[in-house]
Amino acid sequence: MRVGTEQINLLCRSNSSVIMLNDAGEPFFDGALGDQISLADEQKGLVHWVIANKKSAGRFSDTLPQQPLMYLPLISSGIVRAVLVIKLADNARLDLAQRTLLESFTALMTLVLEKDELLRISREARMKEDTQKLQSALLDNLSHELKTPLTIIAGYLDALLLYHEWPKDALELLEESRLASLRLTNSVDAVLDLTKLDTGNFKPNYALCDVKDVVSEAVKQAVIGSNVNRVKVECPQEPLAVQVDFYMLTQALKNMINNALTHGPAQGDVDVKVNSLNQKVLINIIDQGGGIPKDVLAKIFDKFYRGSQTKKGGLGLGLSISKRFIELNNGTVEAANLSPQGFMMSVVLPVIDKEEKL
Amino acid sequence: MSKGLVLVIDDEPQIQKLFRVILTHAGYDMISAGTGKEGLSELVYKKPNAVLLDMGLPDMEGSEVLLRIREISDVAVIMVSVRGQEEVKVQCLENGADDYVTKPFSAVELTARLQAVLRRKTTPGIVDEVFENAGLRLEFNTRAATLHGQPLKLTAIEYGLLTLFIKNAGRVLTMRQILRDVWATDNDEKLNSVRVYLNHLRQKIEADPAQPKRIVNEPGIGYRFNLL
Repeated sequence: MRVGTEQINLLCRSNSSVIMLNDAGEPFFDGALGDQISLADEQKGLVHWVIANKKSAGRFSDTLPQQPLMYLPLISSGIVRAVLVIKLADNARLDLAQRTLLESFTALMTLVLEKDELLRISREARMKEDTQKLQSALLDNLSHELKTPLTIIAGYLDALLLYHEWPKDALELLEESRLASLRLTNSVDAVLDLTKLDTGNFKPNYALCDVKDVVSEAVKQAVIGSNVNRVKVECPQEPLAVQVDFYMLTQALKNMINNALTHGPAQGDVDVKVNSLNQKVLINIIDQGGGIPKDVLAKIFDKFYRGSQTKKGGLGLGLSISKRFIELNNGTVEAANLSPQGFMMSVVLPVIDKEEKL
Repeated sequence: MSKGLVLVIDDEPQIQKLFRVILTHAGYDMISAGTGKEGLSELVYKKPNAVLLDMGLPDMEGSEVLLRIREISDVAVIMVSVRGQEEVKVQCLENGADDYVTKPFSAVELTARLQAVLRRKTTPGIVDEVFENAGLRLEFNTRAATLHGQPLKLTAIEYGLLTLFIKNAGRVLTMRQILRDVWATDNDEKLNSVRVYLNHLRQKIEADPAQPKRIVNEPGIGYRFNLL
């Protein structure tokens, strides 16, 4: 750029400077390249005008030709990249040859700017890609390192319970341990999912699914141990096709059902009701618990939020993961207290055309 | 008597031991390999009836080992994966894997799946051009189908679906595999038709279509036809 301004100065016997634009498209006056031409406020205003209108202004132009300075926009791909300001001697005139040369110079300078910009973009993209690859490899490794011992613990406990006779007290301990290993698996899944979400390593893999399949899988995963008969599912007969990432939506619903099982009355039912209306599918998860105070209703989907009356463990991650998974699948989720009793979480997802012609 | 020889390809000794405990109790013999390469040579020399193949091995990806296996053998292959690898699972099933289990798996689940795929490999699916299982009967020459002696009216697509499932009993078929075989298209927009027609078929051949026992859903992956 500096070379460019020097050449222009030689050509036109002028002083000139290039005012670059920052990422937000604002002129960066203090960092002008070439000669330092101090601009008054109204002259700065003219630079803004040039950027906004993508036209030259000042001397030898249609806009405010009485101004002493020339303001030329350097435009590439329809975007103003910089503004070239030229200060000519008062009595200077530009002949045709000089004008043509000036135009060529500005075109060249624009090309240089464009090349710099492209280089910068591709360098950033490559860096981002490298970081993502590294993160993704680290996460895969972490997942493997956490899941392998868990598989061994859960599997050995399973084998001990299945293939051996135990006295009653030992049996109880083994069963408790097996349930704990399953709970730990769930927590590990939650932490891994959240880490993947936070680092942008979770790309949804959309596929057509029947909502019913997703719901029944979520219920299957949510009920372990003593909760088997507590979840009641109501679904319409016909298939309801949604375009979602099966894993994400299953996890989302599973967490919400788990939440309802935990916060509802100890042996109370949890209802999962699926309905379709106006090209949308509505999934309601209802427990018979006391609900939650109004002022924290909005907070339950926040990361690490745990209710003040929360009885047992829990990381406070489940519902925040649910919300993010559902939103990644173009859905919405809300929570509301029911009167006189109960608490409901509702998921809304767009439905894909049901019956298509063959 | 042994129910069959199972080759486990997994690099974790403790996971191998877990498989050994489960498989031995279920009546199988087991051999193991710690790398893909070793697994392939065991496959050639020992000719196992089934392979349990881990998705991540030190020398190559499980999916790559699967492709190499399919170049030389029709052996039953069950992939062992961790959760959330749905795309890879689907890819492996389309490349010829018979089924998959997800870590951590239960002993019951593993042996049930193993039994299902081995059953497919050992019973010749179609004897005398007639298929018969738990009251469902299909004559391939005449295309006549009956359920508990009652004639079944099947449309061409339903018949196509049913024969595809029968030929692959015990095996997980992805939505795309079904689409390609019955509709002869790769057009993803038709995927929902598969679901609609499967539902029609279920209405006709399941005792309780709301709780299907023959055509069961493999969540997020596809469907499996079970012999009852």
